[in-house]
Formats: sequence, structure tokens, C-alpha cells
Amino acid sequence: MEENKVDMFIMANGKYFESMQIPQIKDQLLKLDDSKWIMIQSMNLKDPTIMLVISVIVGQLGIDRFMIGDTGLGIAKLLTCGGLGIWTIVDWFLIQGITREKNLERLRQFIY
Amino acid sequence: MTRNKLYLLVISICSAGYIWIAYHLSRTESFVAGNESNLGFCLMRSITGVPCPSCGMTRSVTTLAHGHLSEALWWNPLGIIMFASMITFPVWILYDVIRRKDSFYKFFISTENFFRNRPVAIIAIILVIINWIWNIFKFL
Repeated sequence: MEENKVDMFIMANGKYFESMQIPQIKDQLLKLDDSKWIMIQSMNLKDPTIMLVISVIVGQLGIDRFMIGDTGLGIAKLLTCGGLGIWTIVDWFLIQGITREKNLERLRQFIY
Repeated sequence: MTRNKLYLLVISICSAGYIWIAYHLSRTESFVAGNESNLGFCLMRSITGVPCPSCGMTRSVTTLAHGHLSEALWWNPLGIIMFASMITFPVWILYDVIRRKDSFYKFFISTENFFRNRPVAIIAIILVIINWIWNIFKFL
């Protein structure tokens, strides 16, 4: 894929990934052919900041976990009332990192 | 989530659950709806005063431990699921660890996929909301 398209993608979507991963992502995208460009553009990535807001407001119901795809853990969090509150607080700190990892996994499915 | 990570996580959660329930079982006090000293830390309840869908779980599981099924259902029907899980999961995981299998892991993944279906998820959400509304009416 052309370099300026890749740069555009990274500028628009850099916040969805860990900053350490960006160089690797850029390399892989450059090797990718143009036909996948539309697929990449329409990928559904989760915004870590929005996930943090959701986690703080309704994290106790496990909604943050459901949204990033951890259905089983979400059910556990819901049933235990946010892990007696402890899991709720722990997830406030973890949720952004986990969202970024999940985004990376999704991207990998497309570009590998 | 790898098999070992999952097993470790479930064992930790079950252990914490057992300690929590044991602590409550050792205290002899009467359960009163809205009695603050019984409750775990429910953020939603302390901020808004509205109970969450799983308020009453501790009371439900402790009454089940005493064998009172209908009382447990009244406190919170989800307590039955919790009780059954807390009993079967550690045994299942132990079996898997001894036999070097991953049947529990497969069960977990298939349950996740089951709930990811749109119709199942919608039914489950509706049930949780009904339970939530009932909790509110009970002044939990």
C-alpha cells in the first residue's frame, strides 16, 4: 500500500493501538496490497478513551468487558456485582491497555 | 485468554468468593433488606442508592448454603447460578489439571459463543433487567 495512505491511516487510528506497536503496524500495512484498503478503513475498532468512560460509569455491570468482547468475564463481573467492587476498580486501570490489545488482534486478522 | 490463565483466574475468583461467603456465614446476624453491614461494596448503590442486578447475591448464596432454596430465590435468583458455579468450577478445573485436559476451557469458550448470539444475548439482557427491577422493588 502507498506510504501516504498508510500514514493517513496511522494518523487517524494511532490512538487505538499501543504506541510501541505502531512501527510494526506501519511495516505490515506497507507490504499489504491496495485491495485491502477498503477493508481496513471500515474496521470496527474500539476507542480506549470511550471504554474508560464506560468502565467508570457502568463498569460494575460488566458492560466494559462485554464491549471489548470478553463475554465470559463480563458475565462473571455482572454476577459478582463488579467483583465486590474490587474488579470494577481494577478494570478502570486495565481497560485501556486491554482495548488496545484487542484492537491490535483485530487488525492482525485483517492484515496477516 | 489461554487455558492456564483462565484456570488461574477462575480459581482466584472462586477462592475470593469462598472467603467472602465463609466470612458471612460465620457472622450470625439477621438479614434485613437494606441492612448496610451485610453488604459488599456496590458502587452503584452507594452513589445512586439504586441496587444493581446482582445485589443480594451474598445473602442468596449464604441462605442456599443453609439449604433454604425459596429464600435464596427471593434474595436473588442469580444466586443459584453462582452457587452451582462455585461448587462445580473448582472441581472441574482440578479434574482438568490432574488429567491434563482442557474440557473446562472448551466449556468456557462455547458458553461465550453461545451468549454472543444476538437472540440469546437479548433474552439474557431482558432477564437481567427484569431481575434488576425486581431488586429495586424489593428495596435491596
